[in-house]
Amino acid sequence: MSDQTTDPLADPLAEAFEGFRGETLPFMEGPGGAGARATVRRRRQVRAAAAVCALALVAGGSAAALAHLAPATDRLTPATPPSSAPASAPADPGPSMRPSPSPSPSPSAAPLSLRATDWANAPVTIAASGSCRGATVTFSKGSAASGDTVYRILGGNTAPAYGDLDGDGIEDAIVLVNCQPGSMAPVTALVAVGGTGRALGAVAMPSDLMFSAYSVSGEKIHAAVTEDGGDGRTQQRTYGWNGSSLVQTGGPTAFPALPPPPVTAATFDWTNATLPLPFGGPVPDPGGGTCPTGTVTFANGTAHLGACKYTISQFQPTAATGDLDGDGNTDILLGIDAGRSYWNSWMYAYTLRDGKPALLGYVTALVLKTPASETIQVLSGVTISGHTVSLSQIYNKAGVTQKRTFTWSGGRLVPNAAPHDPAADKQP
Amino acid sequence: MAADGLDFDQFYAAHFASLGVQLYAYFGDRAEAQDIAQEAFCRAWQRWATVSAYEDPLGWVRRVAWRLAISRWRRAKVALTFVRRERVENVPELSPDRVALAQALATLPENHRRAVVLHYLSGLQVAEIAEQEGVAVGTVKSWLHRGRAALSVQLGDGAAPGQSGDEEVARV
Repeated sequence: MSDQTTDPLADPLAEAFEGFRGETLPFMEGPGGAGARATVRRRRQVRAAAAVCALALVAGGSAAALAHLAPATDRLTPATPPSSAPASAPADPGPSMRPSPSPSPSPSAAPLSLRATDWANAPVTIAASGSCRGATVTFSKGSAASGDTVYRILGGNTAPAYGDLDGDGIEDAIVLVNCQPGSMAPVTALVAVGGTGRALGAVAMPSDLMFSAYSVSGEKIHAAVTEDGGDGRTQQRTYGWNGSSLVQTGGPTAFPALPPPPVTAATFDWTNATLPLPFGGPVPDPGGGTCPTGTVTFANGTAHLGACKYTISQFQPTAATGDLDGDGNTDILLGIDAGRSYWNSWMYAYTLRDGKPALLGYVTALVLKTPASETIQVLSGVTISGHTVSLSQIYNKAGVTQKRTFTWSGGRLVPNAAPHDPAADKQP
Repeated sequence: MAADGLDFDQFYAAHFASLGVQLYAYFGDRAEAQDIAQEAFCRAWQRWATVSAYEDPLGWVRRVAWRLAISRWRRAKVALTFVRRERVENVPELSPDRVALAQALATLPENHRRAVVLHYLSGLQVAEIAEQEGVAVGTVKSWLHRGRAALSVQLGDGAAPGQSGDEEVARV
């Protein structure tokens, strides 16, 4: 690229500008490269000393003016023209019109900064990202809305951070916004605002993740991404500006899948399991015979062994689970009916050992059916508390409710309370 | 370009005045133009190892300077205090034609003025201006066309533009 490509002969304006250049160039001297180096050196020294220096903002509240600049490039023009605007003074206006040198100049004098922006009450252009819709909004008391999307500026540990993301030498700002589109789940989005007020981009988390903290170093945003709920795992990820938007530049892009939760007796699928059924019992079937003892494999809650049909069910309304044997693991009580055409109801206690069903104890149909002359219509309220099992029985004929308890002891469930008909409460 | 002080000094010496002239034409305030140009070079030195490796370090400095100008960054006073004192003795006395040009420029809308200055004093092509400004090429053509038309009216027939907006296409 040349400094001047316009042919003066072809364009009279080119000649005018060439003349302008020729007349002003000799007077456009600067402090020199050494001056620039000295300025930078002084600024670095001051930063190193962590001195709290007031920013040398331009007069007239320019920071506030910048904070209200719209992000579009053609709206970056200052709200008010420079005090020395050349409307009537094209040449150097003379000392009286020049800005007065600071009476006690600070070497840390800094340019107009976005740091002066009150983000809770400022216009911000939010680029669309993920489920967060893009909009140019003006926050008021930290909130803004566009369409059905509500935006909230977040603070605390996620207060705005500042750094030069686009490498243009001007400090940019990064603010964290909570973005809720309509009735959808809210998401957090990092929104970058260029030092000149233009939007640099945004990056939003999905609703199950959130930005929990962030900082800026060099041209990178270092963000902590935390699972919202669950185990609340956190990852460190970095983001940067690629010339058009914010993109992730480092760190993991997803959380590794969690190992499946351990299966307990409460979550095990007992309706599709192979279970030890140690007792066959007398089947009061007109044809006689017994249901065989053995290992029974259930499928969708039913099994067949010999001429017998077995059905398995959990007690309602909630499964009867607890630590019956006191080993720290969950155990469960299951109801198993068996028979040919007439069903006996047994109650079995199982646990899981190495992921496989293991028998803890049982209550036979006859023990449950007390008095023997009655038929149990409903077995309800089955619970485990310590080593004790409690339940309620409603009888067919009597229509009465009888509460009973059993205690787990050495692999057996022993009835506690004297049953209505103790003589009948024995194993077959 | 090596990132050492010597090369930076050469770079500075070669381009500071030219950049300052462009900003001067834009602001009409030489002190402000010098301040902004100086700040842009300060920022270049701050990251000289990176900037000097760019294909177009001057383009980087120019973009920084114009962004500073657009955001109405005014001045880092300390670095220029000495220079300001010197300026009193070096106030340019422009000829009537140059004063007229500066006055005419001052009446243009900001974007028209930037386009004209970038075109005539920075030597940028339409596409380059469009890239720097972040607008479409057609937009820059429009700015240039209108800016030049307005200047021609104010400066009289002698400075009437000899090219139409369409002719700019061929220069891209």
